[in-house]
Amino acid sequence: MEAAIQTRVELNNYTHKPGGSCMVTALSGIYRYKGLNYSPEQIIGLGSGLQFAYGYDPEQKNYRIEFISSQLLYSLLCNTGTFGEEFEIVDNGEALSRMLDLLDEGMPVPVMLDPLYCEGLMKRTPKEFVAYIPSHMVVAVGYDLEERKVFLYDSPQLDLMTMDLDDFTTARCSGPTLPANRHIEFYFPDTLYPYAQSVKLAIGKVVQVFKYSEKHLAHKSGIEAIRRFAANVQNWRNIFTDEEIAGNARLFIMAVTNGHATKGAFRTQYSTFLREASALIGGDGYHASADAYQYLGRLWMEFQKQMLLLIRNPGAREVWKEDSDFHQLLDEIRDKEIAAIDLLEKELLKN
Amino acid sequence: MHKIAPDIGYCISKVLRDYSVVIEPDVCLLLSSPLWLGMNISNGNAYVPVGKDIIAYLNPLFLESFSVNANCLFLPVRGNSQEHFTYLIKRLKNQRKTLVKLSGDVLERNDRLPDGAAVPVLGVIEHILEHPGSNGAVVDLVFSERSTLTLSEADFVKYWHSDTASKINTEWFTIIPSQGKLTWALIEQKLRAAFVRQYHHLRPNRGGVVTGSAVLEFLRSNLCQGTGRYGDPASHFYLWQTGKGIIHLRKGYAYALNKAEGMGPAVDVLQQGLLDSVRAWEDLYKVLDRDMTVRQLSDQYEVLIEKENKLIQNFKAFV
Repeated sequence: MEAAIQTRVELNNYTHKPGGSCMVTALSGIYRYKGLNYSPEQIIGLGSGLQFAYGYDPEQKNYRIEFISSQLLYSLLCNTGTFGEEFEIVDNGEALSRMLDLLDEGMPVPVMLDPLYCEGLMKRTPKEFVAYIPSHMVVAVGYDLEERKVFLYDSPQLDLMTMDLDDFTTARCSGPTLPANRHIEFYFPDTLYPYAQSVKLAIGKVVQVFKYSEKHLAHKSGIEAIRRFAANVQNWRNIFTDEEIAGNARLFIMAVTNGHATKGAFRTQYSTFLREASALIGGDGYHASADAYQYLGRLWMEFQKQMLLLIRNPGAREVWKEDSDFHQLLDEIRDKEIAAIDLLEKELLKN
Repeated sequence: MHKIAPDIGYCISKVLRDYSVVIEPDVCLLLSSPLWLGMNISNGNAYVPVGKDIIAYLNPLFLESFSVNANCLFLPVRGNSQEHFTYLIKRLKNQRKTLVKLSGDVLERNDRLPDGAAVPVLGVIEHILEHPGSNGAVVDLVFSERSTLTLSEADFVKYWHSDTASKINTEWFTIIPSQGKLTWALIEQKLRAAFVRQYHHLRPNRGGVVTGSAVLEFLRSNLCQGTGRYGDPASHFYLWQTGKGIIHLRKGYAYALNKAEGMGPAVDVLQQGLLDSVRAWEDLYKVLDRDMTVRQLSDQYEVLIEKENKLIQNFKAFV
């Protein structure tokens, strides 16, 4: 006898907690579903997510800025001992069929969607910033083929969302970051790395990225990027039109807030991770580093206000004069970022 | 990604040179924490990092591990459409080579997976020559220092396939380094992290995918009880014929450890442990190649289990 074809599946024991970064919220949900109650802060920490990356595209006259690592998923896998792959399936039917297979097996599926199809995200994001959202991750937790619906959780919203299957299919294969139909699959072994070991590996990676990165072609990361950013931004007035300044300020706001989803440039969350890690590991811990990153979170928030000023008035004299808060804040951020990573490296070697 | 020609160090090193970054192939191999032993004994369609009933000896996350250990950007792309191929051509025009996984048939390798598919190999696309108006491009591939190949576009696409663990995708990878001036102190830091990850990858794990010595225990238990997928001694012969690369990879790793001799006596102990393990694997193949009895095979598994567990302890010195 043939097995009955399932037409409706819903993973009711998936617990969704709304959060800031879509990817961090999704990963936190997946790990929680597998019995690992990792908070978003732990996902950022264990995924060596703390970042400052910066690159300039001369053709488009704009900057690329990252405050959270684009490598978070791979670092998280390699720091915890989880297996996973990001898939990209050209054929829409094949992409859907694979997702349904996984849901049938009881595995929730993080899926990339065109941000324009995500209601909660659109509500949260001011209109002038929408064009700057590159992509958005949701977690598919069920489907109903008879009703042609997909059930999913989206990071800004508490409740389960229902999306029409045709809309969902279009949302998967459209959007600014093509080729699309991307999703992630995971395999969790019975035993992951001991937590303290994961913390140490994850912090070690952050130290490597911040202190010892020299080049990503035009794309810099870590301290080198912060130095370059601080120097370049102070020169924007001389090289950009007002429109370009406002555009780059918007790009900055999107990066530092992760699309109006987080505060403190992920430094605040990283500080929480370090504090929690200290409590678990004992010994000297990472208390001083946690304080340093908490302070940096506040500094970046202050700087964000200055960038908002530039969006409204790119030529604002109070911003561009030499002894402005803007310039002083930039210098302080640069110096404190350098001091914070030095301290983190020292504490890492001690612990 | 259960089996790939073990010249991964050579391929990774070659890609890094595009960025004027020189990391020796042996060091690249160590930095990829590649040693693993895994077998998928689960049922169903959920993702597992290795195909069903296959012995995998290469860590499925070896490229991710390399990127994390070596502080590189890792950009995997999966898909072999015409758009993807066009993108590869564009990358090459910008002097950027790409790592690609191809069917082992491309090298006419004898290794076969249980479903008849050839063991995949990792290579580097060195050149793509376009002939306007003709039947497509010509692709130059490099697999190791001595192994190169030129293929028509049609043949390349034919061999550019996915493995049995996940038939739905095709893979190629980009690795972008972040560091060029690599002092020994920095390399040593990276190697220590790589050894820690290597230690954890080798630990025995049970579940849908058994790993480390738990694989050998599982096989031994099937054999001794005469039950399960591997109850028949002949099935072990076929199973391990596809896993011969394990000796090659481990020998390569042991040899590569010479590059880490500055890290102290623990490296010598580790190297010795690896060579002991290699000898035990070679003995397994000797047993498999003759009419072995259940007892002989079981005894050899016992030796291997002991060597695998000892090897883990050797790696633990770096944790």
